[in-house]
Amino acid sequence: MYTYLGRRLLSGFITLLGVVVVVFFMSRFTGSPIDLFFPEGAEPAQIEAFNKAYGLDKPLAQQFGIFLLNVAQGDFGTSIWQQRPAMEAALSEMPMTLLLAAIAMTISILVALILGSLAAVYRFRAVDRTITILSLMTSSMPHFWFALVGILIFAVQLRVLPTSGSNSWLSWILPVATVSIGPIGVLTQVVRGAMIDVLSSGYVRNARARGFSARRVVYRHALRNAALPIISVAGDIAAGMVNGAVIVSVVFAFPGIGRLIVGAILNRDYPVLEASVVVVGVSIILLNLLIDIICSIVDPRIRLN
Amino acid sequence: MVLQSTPIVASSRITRWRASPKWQMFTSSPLAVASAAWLIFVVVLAFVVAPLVVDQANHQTIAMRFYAPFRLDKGFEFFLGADSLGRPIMLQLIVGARTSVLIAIFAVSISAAIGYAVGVVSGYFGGWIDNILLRLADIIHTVPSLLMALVVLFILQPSIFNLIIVLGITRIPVYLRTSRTQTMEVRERMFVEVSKAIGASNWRIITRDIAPLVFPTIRTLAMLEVSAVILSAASLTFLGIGLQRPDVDWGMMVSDGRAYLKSAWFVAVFPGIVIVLTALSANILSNWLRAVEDPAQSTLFFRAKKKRGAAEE
Repeated sequence: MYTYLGRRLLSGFITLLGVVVVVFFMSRFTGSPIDLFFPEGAEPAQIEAFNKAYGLDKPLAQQFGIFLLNVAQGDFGTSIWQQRPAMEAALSEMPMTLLLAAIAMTISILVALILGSLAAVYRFRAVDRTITILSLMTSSMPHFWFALVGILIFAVQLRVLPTSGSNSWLSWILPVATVSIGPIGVLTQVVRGAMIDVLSSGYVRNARARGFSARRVVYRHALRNAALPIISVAGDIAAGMVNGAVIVSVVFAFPGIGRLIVGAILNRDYPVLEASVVVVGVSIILLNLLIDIICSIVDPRIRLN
Repeated sequence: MVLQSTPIVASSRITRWRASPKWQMFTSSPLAVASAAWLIFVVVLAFVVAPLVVDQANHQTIAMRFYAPFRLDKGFEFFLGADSLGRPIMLQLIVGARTSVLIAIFAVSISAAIGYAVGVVSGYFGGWIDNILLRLADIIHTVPSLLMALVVLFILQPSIFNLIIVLGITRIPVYLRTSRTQTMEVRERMFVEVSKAIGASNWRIITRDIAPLVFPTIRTLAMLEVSAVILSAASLTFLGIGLQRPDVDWGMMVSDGRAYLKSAWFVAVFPGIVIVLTALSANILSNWLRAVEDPAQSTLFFRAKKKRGAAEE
């Protein structure tokens, strides 16, 4: 178990290193923040001082070296627009995103488990067909459009939900729905597929033959064995929730890392962009690690291979 | 039915016997037929109709601003209403279809071809190159696709070509991982051993023994990715990154309509419906392909069908 964990940690670390490198070079290619920060015809001395302050006057290779050294110490520099450490900005926005993702994930998994199992148990019948089509539909729904239609119906027409913000619990409903609608569809199909495989297996037939109730067979015998593919897809989906968070931040002005990243890109706020992508990267690597550990507990063959 | 009565004698008969159940499954699934029809319809609109109407679609008539939909008194092209500059939404949708279809076809082809080829070769040989490639795929995979595309497209000029490149590259890992895993499994099978024993070259083993077995999975995945790519491209253009007028796609149209949600709902709603229909069709077809390719599921299908048929009689 420990060698397995060590191997996973090492590969996670290498991936993180790669993300840091990619992020540095990508953000440097977006152009200089000077054009955005200074009005046209600003004093050259002022610009020079700005460049010096943010280390933009040095050659790219040297900038990169300094960047790596600082990152190793957890220092991503100061935000160019917010005048506070970039890491602080990224970390302060993260809890909101994590909370949104956690709520959406919980809802998606619960709904998917129920609908997917139902579809598998009644496969090729009306229930299954309805659930399959619905799940395909929700996974074909673009986030942003679902969000707008939600606003149109619940905020503009019915006036029961606010269009933006994050103050009351009511303002969480549409963002959470927006982020979970796609995952519900995808996960339902995964649960259905995994359950169909498991339900036609020998041990489930055996359990049935021993006279256990249908409910017990489904929940105790089948679902546990179908867990593996479900968990690994759920991990990928959770990682992809950052995409949804970006859309939600734009449509609902919902706080979180999405808002920070979009702002940082538009303002060329390198330090914040680097810090937030790295924070997202670390979260996803940790999440993958967690998923690997869970999978290796569920199925010991994985860690022994 | 063909199924029972055809004797398995000549090889031509065998292929027919093998091919017809798929076709039968296709025609007996109205959803799959409808999805295929819709996709063909969209492709025809994109490549045949769009070039004919592009000027008319971009023609701005301020008098027609937010002309309400479902009326024919201003001509058929205004049946779905007009947008904030008085452009007919229906024609804009057709022109937008061309962008979306181009992006979907090319981005999916690029990522599928590269991911498939690299995955098979890397999975077959293994070793340090395989390790590095897998690590690269992990890195691309760790940065969320939308984020990656946002950053890259911010550097590059907005254009259809750049959108295709970005989406093509960010989706490679999906195919790479799948084809690699499957290759590693196929590599261990007996017929590969046999090929090696009779002295086949690595190239021959890869192209003749392994690649054809991995292909069906890649095909199903690519169909699924058509829908994913359409949705990603639309998300990017919705965020205002990736395209610029006069180029237009469905995501951009939704974004245009966003500001007028209260006064003119149809400007944002119609393009969204088209996106959903198209992504859904690709999803249904992919789902259908997966069911057909999976022997367990297709057996179940025919068994269920037979049972239902017996019950009806």
